[in-house]
Amino acid sequence: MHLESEELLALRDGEARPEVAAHVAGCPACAAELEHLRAVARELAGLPVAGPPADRWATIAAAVEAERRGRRRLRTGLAAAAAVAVVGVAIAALVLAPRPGTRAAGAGDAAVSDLEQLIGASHQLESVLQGSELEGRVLSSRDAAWIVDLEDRIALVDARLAGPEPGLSREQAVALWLDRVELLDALVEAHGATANSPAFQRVSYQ
Amino acid sequence: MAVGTGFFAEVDEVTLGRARRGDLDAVASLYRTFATPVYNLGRRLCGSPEEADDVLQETFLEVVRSIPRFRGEGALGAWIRRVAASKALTRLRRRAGAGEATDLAEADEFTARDLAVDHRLDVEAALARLPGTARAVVWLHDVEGLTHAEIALLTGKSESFSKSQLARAHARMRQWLGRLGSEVHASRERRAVGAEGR
Repeated sequence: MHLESEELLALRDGEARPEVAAHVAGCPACAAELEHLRAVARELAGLPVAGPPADRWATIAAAVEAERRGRRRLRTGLAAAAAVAVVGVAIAALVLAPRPGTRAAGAGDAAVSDLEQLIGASHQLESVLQGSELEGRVLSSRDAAWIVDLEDRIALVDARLAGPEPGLSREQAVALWLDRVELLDALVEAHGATANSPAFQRVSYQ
Repeated sequence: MAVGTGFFAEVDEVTLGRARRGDLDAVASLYRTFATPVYNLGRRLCGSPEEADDVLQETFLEVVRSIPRFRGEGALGAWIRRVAASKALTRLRRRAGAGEATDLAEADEFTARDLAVDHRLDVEAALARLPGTARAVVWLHDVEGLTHAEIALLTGKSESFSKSQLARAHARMRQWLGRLGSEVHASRERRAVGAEGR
């Protein structure tokens, strides 16, 4: 009776039960198999190291700058939206201000919170995406990967927003919604950028 | 056993601090230090130079985004390696979502495709021939030195999944490789002797 690979691997990695080592000490077949596993690991560690093309950093630095520009634009947009909301609240407060002799209107009813602004911005960006004709287009592998990466990250944020963790704090919820809005904005930009690139053809999506 | 693949280069605190503040020259310095191990990891896990290139870009974009939150618990290189592995594994998951078999099920142990290999492969070819997730587990555990617990966190699977993928992958490679061991020792010793003699 010889040992399974999993037991021999545990022994190779110093994680096996003592009886496994005792068996190998008295079993030439298992000892040979263990040596084979060690040899494979040595060979793997000795494989040649592949490096990137020499000029790759320039492309990555350009992508970093593009992402930063997108974030700056988003922050500017959010600030503008917040300013509009403040004006809206001010107008609402003026309109709803209690006249002498009337019951006071609930000022809290008219308050627009930062969280609600972010949720609103998120819905708006989703509408932009849904309104675009994204099907039937060919993307370069890098654009497609970037878009799928953004979609994955949005899904992770959604999972956290809808997840089993009880009672996200308001600050945590705001941070997650801000992440979601930033990711959606980058996604809108990615689709827009790819729509304008020569590689963006209306043939088929792959 | 495993010694890692270049992710443990030292980074000075000044460069790290500048990178955290968004200084692109400092990030370029990190790139010069870690680009090769990141690219190599992407190449070994995903298999193609194009995907390794994408893993490299996605990893450094993530480094720029997230380094302000890197708290310095553990080596920076270990953190960058986790980011790179996560990016590569996301690609493998995407392939699995598109219907590609990326892990080794027990029922897959002996397939016509395996038996059709009528010549001995070398270790590099055998690794490349493994399905994606099994290949990733072998590389991350046997070469990068990650524990099964760390691999479980990265893959979103259990430790026992990681252990079984490793065992099945080695069993599969065992068929393709024939017996390594004494003869590999001998060939390495011959190479070493040859090198000394030159």
